[in-house]
Amino acid sequence: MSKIFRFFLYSVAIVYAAITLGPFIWSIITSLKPTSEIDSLSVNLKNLTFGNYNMIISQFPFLRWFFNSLVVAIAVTFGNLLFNSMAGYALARINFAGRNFLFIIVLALMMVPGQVVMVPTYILLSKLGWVNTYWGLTIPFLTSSFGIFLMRQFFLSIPKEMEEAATIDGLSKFRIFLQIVLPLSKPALTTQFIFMFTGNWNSFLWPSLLTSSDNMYTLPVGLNSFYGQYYQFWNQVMAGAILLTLPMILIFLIFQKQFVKGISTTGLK
Amino acid sequence: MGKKFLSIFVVTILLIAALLSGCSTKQNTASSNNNNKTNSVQKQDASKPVTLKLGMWSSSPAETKIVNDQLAAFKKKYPNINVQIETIVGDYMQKLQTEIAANVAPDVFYLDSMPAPQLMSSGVLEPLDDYIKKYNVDVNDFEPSLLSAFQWEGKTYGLPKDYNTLALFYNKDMFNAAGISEPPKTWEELKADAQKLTKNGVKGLVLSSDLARFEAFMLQNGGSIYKDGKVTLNLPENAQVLDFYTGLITKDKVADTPQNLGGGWNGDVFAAKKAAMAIEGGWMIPFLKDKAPNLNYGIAELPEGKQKATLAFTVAYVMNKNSKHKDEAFKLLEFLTGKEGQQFVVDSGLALPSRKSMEEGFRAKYPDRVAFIDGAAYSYPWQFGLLGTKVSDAANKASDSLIMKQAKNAQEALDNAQKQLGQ
Amino acid sequence: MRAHSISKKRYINEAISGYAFMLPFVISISAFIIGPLIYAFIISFKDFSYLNPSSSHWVGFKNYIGLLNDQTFKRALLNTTIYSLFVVPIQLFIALVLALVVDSDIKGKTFFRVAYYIPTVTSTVAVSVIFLYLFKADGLVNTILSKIGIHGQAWFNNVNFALPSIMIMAIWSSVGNYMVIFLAGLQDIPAELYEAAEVDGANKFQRFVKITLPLLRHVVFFNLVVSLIGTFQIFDQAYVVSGGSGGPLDATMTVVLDIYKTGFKDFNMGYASAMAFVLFLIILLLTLLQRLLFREEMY
Repeated sequence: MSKIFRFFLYSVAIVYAAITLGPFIWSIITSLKPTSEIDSLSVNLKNLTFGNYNMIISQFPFLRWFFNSLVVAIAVTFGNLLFNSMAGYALARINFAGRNFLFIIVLALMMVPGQVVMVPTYILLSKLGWVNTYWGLTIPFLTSSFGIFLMRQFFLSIPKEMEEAATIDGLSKFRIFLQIVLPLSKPALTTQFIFMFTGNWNSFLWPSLLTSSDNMYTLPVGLNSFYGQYYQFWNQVMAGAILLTLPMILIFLIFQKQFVKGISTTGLK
Repeated sequence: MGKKFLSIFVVTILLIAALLSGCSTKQNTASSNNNNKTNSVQKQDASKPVTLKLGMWSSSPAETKIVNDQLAAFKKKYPNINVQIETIVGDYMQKLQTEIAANVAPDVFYLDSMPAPQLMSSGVLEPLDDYIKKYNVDVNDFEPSLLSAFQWEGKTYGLPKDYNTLALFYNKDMFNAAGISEPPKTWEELKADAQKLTKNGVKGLVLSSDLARFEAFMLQNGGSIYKDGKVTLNLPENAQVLDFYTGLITKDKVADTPQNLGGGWNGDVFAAKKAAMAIEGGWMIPFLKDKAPNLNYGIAELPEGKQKATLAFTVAYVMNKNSKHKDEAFKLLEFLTGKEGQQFVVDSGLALPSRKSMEEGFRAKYPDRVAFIDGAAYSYPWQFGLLGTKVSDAANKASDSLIMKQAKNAQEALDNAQKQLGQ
Repeated sequence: MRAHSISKKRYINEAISGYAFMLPFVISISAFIIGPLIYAFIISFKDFSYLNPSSSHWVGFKNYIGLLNDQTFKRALLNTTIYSLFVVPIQLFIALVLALVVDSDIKGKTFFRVAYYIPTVTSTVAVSVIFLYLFKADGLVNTILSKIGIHGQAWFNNVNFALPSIMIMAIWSSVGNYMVIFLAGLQDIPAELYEAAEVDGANKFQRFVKITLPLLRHVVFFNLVVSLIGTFQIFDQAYVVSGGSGGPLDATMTVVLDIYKTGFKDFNMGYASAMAFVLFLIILLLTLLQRLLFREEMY
């Protein structure tokens, strides 16, 4: 490879890394600054402090919001992992009347913007008394057409032989699914896990609609309302933003290898 | 087979849809039954402790303190009624309305005069007339213009808890440095003083692009916004004012918006000493005390045009129609707006008591804040019938478009706003 | 005969398990998507306020006709279209370039891949407040600009810069997603093809045009659809940046923000549903159009 081309590659790589990481680094620094220094561009290492984190956690319900986000994201993610794989498996491997029709529905629903059903779903949830509850934040989101599509594509790509052997041994479809298929699906499940968990952890429109009291807020909703009141205190606002961001970055770092592998095996393209 | 499945599927969905709509009527009757039941139960043993929810927003810790103090006094008087505060953060009306729709709204809550007509007309509030009669509340003691903001088609839905008028906040140190001895009394003086005060990156005046500020000047100029059920946004008197008001920013360059001066609202800029004057209400006082404790400032009546005028902002306590403890809720409402409750408002000095009989107490205690009370005599309520915030949104856009130089002149901008409102 | 009935029984068993596997999905979409979709369609022909359901009544096409004269909605459509026209091509271009970079044999690939993907897992709300901070009148971006002699703006408060600022933010935060998908596509292209082309004397650029691009067509199509649908649903950033108002002067008003405001602030839910269906229609048409275009090209 020519030297110039190589230099060009590295420049692009490094410049763009600076563009993506720069804002985070600056936010982290700001979140550690005392209020008197937030408008200055210099960093006084001696004065850096975790006081802002302490402050937002002790004076505001950030921990509660964190907990809410965690509960909701975990419930929704595991619901999706289970139900989407089940449906995806049925669409890929089980023969039943109406299968094609259901697959078309899955494809069609991927195009429905969630906002279209926002109003009636809200009405339905309020009739059920689920507004401002964990039920309202989780139950409507336990399956996803996108996730089903993803899993179907994956199941189509893995070899059939083991399942066929198991069928001859008389195993039921459900046991085949649990004992043979799921263990093979780690990369696809990881990909879905990351999509669903980050998507849900970061989701803002629905939780801001469905929660009205601050003890039910999720972290993004809480951060937005905190920002609305304390926008002058950028160091505290940034501390909140970092609190919201860090867990996702950690999860991604842990699973990133599997994640990229999963994307290439799910035929997500 | 495929077809059969399709039809089954469609039928299932229709069934579910029918169920959904069926659910709603069923639940409604169930809840009204419940209401009847609780009402009769309530009469039998009124001494049983009940818990009420009180919905409010909090503009400052000082405001929260007033309510907490009021509730402590209330608890002493009515030991059997517990009150839980629910502070709504963020967009108050949006959250409140969704709570009402979902039937989880508080028993008693704050309601601003502006959106009051929509709620009063949609029947989600409990009319208070029967309770006022039953408990013999002296409603004539309330400032009539405040009370009338919460009356709709002959019924009273809310009792005003306090109010505020707009006045001119001015930085005394900056005035002294510029050799100005008195706050401006007329528009000309306002402009001339602002000119003198504009230097070294400081603007003479911070002006928000907000009908809730410039309407006062329009009223002073003989204009109006909403008259006899009609929007009158594009009157020439209004256009004149808007040209003057936005011209202070765009032509004379003696004023600017809080956003352009690095703040979220006028208070930020005034506290940061980036502007020498600001037009605000009593809510500025605790904010300044907190943010700029050493700021040397005064409060004067608004400078006048053809006549004196200012805006009065009022908030009332109203009762949720679906409250399960209406009698108790009214006792709370009456206490908070009665003389005992109002005394806390007077003591805090943040807002003016809504009862005429309490006014003297305020004057005596806060002589430097009488500009607010003097303004009350010539104030107009902040309310535009059912159109509500649609009017102010349209007017704000008109002034935004002038400040951001997207419109030629105020008349054109206001004509456009008027048209947008379909008037 | 016996064998036949066994296979039939097996077939029925299989079908039953198939339905059982699909059941959660069917229940969920019936209750939370298809049911509400029908309901939304119905109330889009009504004057419907949830605060006062008893006063709701049929109005025919009034809501849809009203949209034609609704300046705010038109502005929202325009904003969303402009946003989409800029964001989709730019973010896909950057994503493809980055995918190629990360797919090459440079050192520290994993680091770069992670660095590029991190904005994608970051909450839009966090990204919005971070950008509000960086782009404020006296923020980092303006300070850097002033060093090179450019006088900065109050970006998000300026009629002309608010929407572009949101575009920059959106591109920044979503490029990683498309990059990863491009990357997966690139890694699927057999190395032999490149080797053969190299033997034939094709240079890097020729190889990219003749091999990489055609084989990536499916991936490009997938990314295009997802990106387009995504951009037409922009809400979070516009909401946070404008404090829910879509200001200044509707410069950041998007279709979904308009739906949200109309439905849940003005409580004009029939009208909001009509808006939502117009959005649905647009997305549907765009997707079909793309499918059509790409199918023709593929043959």
